[in-house]
Amino acid sequence: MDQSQFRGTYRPYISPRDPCPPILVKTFVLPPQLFTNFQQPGLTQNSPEEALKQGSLWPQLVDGFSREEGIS
Amino acid sequence: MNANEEEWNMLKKVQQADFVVVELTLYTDTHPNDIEALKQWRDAIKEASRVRREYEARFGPLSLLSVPSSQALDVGWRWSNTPWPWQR
Repeated sequence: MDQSQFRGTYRPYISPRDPCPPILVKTFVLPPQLFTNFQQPGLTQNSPEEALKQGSLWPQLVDGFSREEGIS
Repeated sequence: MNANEEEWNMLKKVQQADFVVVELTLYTDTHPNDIEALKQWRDAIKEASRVRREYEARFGPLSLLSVPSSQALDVGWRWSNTPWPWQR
C-alpha cells in the first residue's frame, strides 16, 4: 500500500505577498472507495487489531491515512 | 506484564471489537442481503459485548449503562473519582 497511490497533489499559487513561508505542494487523499464501484461481498478482511490500526476492516479500502495528515 | 498493561490491552481489545461492529454495521447497511456478513455482524456484536463484560468484571464499568459491582461500590468506586479507565 504505497503512499502515493491514494494521494493527489497540486501546486497552489504562491503570492509574493504571503507573510508566511509558502506551502509548495499540497496533497489530498484519494481513498480507494473512489475507485471501487460497489464493494463485493466476501472480500478478505483484516484482524480486529489490524482493522483498528489501519482504519478499515478490508485492506482494499485502506488509504494509508496517517496522523500527520489529519482528517482526510 | 503488570496489571496496568494487561488492563490496557483488554481496553484495546474492547476498542477493536467495537470498531469491527461499527464497520460491519455500515457494511450491512449497504449490503442488506449479504447473509454471511449479517451472521458475522451478529457474532461481532456478541463478541464485543463479551469482551466488554470481561473487562468490566475486572476493572469496573466503562459506560453509564453498565452496572458497577457491589464490591466496587463498597471499595468506594464512583464515577466522580478519577482516573477513569482510559486515563489509567
